[in-house]
Amino acid sequence: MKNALLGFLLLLGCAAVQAQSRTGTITGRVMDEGGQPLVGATVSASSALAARVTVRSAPTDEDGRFRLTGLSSGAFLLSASSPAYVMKPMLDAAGEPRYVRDGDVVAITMARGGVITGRVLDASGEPIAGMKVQATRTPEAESRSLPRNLFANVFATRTDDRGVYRIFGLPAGAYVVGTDGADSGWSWNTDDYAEDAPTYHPNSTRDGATALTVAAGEERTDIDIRYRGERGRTVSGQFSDSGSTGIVYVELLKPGTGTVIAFDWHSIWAPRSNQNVGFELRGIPDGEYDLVADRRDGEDDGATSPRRRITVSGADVTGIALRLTPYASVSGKLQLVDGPVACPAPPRGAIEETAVTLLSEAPPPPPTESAFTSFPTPQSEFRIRYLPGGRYRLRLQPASEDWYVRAIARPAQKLDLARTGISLKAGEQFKDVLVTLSTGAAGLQGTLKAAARVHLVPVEKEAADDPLRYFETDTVDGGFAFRNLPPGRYWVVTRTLRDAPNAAWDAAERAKLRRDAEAANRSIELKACQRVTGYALSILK
Amino acid sequence: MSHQPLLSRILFVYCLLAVSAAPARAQAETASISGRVTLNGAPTRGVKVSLVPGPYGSAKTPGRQSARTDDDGRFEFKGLAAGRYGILVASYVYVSEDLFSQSARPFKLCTVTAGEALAGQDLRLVRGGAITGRVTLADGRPAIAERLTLSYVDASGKSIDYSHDLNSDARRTDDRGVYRIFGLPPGRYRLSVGQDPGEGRGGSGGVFHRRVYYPGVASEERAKLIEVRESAEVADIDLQLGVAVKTYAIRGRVIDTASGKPSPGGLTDFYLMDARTHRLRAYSFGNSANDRGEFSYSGLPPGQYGVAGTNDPRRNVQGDLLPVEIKDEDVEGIEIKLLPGAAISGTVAFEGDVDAAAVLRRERLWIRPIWLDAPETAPRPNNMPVEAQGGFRLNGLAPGKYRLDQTGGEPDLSLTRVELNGALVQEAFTVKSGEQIAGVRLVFSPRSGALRGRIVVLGSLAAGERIAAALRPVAGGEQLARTILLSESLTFVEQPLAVGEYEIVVTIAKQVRELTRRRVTIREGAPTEISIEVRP
Repeated sequence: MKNALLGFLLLLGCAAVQAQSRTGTITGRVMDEGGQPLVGATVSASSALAARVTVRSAPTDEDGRFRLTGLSSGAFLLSASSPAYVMKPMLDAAGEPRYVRDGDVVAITMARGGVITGRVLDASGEPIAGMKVQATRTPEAESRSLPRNLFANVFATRTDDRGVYRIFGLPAGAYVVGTDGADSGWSWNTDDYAEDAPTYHPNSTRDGATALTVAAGEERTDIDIRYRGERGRTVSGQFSDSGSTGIVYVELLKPGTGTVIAFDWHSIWAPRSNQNVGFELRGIPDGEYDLVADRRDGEDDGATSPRRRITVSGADVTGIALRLTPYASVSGKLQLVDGPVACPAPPRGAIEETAVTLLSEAPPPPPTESAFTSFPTPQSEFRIRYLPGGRYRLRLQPASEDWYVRAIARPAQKLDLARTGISLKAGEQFKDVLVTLSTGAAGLQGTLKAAARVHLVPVEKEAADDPLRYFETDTVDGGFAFRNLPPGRYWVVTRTLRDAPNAAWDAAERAKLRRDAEAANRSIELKACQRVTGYALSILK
Repeated sequence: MSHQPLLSRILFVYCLLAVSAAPARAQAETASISGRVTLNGAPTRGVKVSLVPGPYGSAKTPGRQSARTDDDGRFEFKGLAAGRYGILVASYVYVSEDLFSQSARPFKLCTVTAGEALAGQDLRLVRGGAITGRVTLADGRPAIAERLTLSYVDASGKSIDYSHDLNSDARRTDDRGVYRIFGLPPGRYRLSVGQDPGEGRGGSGGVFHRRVYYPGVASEERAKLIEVRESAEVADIDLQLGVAVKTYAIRGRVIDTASGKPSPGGLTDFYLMDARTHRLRAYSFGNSANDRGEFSYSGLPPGQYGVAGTNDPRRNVQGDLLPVEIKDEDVEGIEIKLLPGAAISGTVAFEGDVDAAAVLRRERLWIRPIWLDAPETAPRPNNMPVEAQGGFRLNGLAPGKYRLDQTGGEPDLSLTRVELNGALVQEAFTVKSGEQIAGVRLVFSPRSGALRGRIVVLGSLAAGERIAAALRPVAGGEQLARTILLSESLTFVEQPLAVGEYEIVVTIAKQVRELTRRRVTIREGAPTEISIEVRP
């Protein structure tokens, strides 16, 4: 029932995605790594405007071909699903998620996913039948953010009468494998374990769980769980949310991290019914946790509650009140102005296909998000939601190679946001941002036979403090590529890879880069509309 | 009645519990229920027996409790309020020895009166058997995540779809094409893989495989039955998927008749042809068109389908069903019209001992429009919540006759009177196309009555027959008739119940032959007691 309702809400959500009329069709083919077509796979296009909303999906035919029709305009992320298979991520040349657009023809590759299999046995070695077993992707063993959708990181099945379970189709990654006795479904299912805390492979609580790495197509066998049968406790209370309708998650986290231990969710779909909604998390072992309620859904900017540190120690924790307050948002407009020269045959592009991303200046460790992407409406207006307070920078990925970012400002206050960044208070609605794009962008592609970070630094003195003139990228397969560059003269500097990107945000870093660049003195003049290719670089001693 | 598939029977009673799961109010909690659990006839220790008020519910049902059997296999629940309870052994492995009395799952429905000590509620278990094998594609590769269908075939050759009683992981193949269905009551089974046209799973994948029965035959009659014995495994029951049928799409636009233009995000319902009844039946609801009002349904094998505009309360529109046939190509250019919806709106009021402010504040009271003359194929209109200020609005209604009832989380309240502009509405509302009926007043009263009793069968029932009973309001009382849940000993408790006049209709379930009718009056407070004798 809950799922059916969720589906309905997601479908309703689609209606909110408004865009201009075009003939939206994306076609393509889904194949396995050996080039064989995958039959009966489902390909879905999610509008990047509201990345959680599935807009359209289509099955592949006996030749692996699919045709997505009736798409709104704008940019989409494609995902393909086929049991036991995992889609290879679609990335662009810069390693960013690749957005597909109206008329694109797309090749999708899927590989066999990993398998985890084993048995669940009780203390006396007897098999436990019908036990729900779930493999949860664990961010602490992977240095990256996982999908925000909490369901996307959990892969579950049930044991058979021999206690055997087999979870397949796992994306490569690190997993903890545990029981979930608290999920006992409806009346006929066993509730013998409903009060129990989960046992993780091999025989531990969540804290002592052994994380298993699973490579693509790998089968991990004998991942047995010796069931502890320890009673878990219930953490319960109420949340209230003054905002709009949507889905509220109540998450129990490992303290100080984004690791979700357990979650409950509620669909708030009638206005004013979002006050004092009960939540309940069952089977929680003794320990310290953070509790947070979160909604990234609905018409408003989303809402979240402050984190509450709680301690479970031999008894249920009840009566916790969580109050959701609005997230911050950043909104504004894009404008496209003509550059000094009109490029011959400029590449096509639509303003609403330009990704507008807000990056956290001090990214928190995964799985907490640090990048928030939105796409403008056909009226060129954008709104980035679900933002915690903090310092941010805007990054644009223009839809056309012909465009570059000339200015990011808040004209009313005469603020140059490209230089200052955006400082957001909790719940603040930061409006009237004006992003100016100009035609006549240049591009630079080259080779560098080393793993390195390539920086472009403006030579012109007056641009020394303009972050919009600084660019950096990492080499991929012995090459690198910059696009959407403002015309001008650049020094090209290489550095060994470091963790912290975005040197251009910091004045001291910029100064250091300029010193290095001046010393290396390797520069290139890029004229409007110019695309330099085959630029061979070597690491300077 | 007894020919109903298992699932619909369970769902039927499941719906009922929504109005009857209220805790017994202010009654002495002195009743007890006891019994014994045997495995293969021998008493068995340490089996967890659960008691569910209602008597159906989930592991989270309030008042659910459990006990473990002692050395002699005995269990007892004490300190119970009068009412009806389910007792069950929730297990994936053990099944009931007396098959299909309610379900293969060990379950018993009991009713107890205040102070009664109900003994002999025994549960006889056996360990179920298992069927395992592998499903392959025509080229020999494994068929992954393919769903199997299992039917139990009784001694007379009648088959009952058993798939819904299984956990969904067990009846799906894994990445090797291997499946293992377990916890099966001893008996004979028919196993198949693939789909019948109109089954409705076609929409999810681009390929459609026709149903194939074990051991690889197309017709049900030629299927070989698989004999399952208790706690035994039947292995190597392998199947090869049938020929793939090409699938097609239906595409079109949703048109808002008020403006004559495509309706961005307009909702449609999708219909499939039911193989058994040869009628279209709604399969998925409220599917959103894109911002140009375009919709598409794909992955469909040739056959009969239907698309209808959704009765959408948010936009107050309503739609008609358009049948669509797919032959050997995509069907394009379908136009689905959204008509202005009719609406019934008004306010609610409360009589008797009700904390009206608290009820409104909880916002758990919902109004359910019951479309009396709905075409068989039409989806039900939407339930809508009563707002905190006491108003309600039922939008998006198709023209027809409607009655209103309450639903939602206020089981102690009953809708006892419906008024329109101050006048009592005895019959249904007749709603014309697009008509907006305002000024309706719904009066709620506490469900302060209760009915309990027993049916005594004088003489005997024929094999396969059983007694059924229904409670029909005659004057005042509940808005709707309900089935009376009978225990094995034909006792029953219906509470809470709105006060009023009712009729109890007792039938033999198999033949649907009426045995008797009794009129009762439910008064506030003490339960109305009744004993009915019938001669089959």
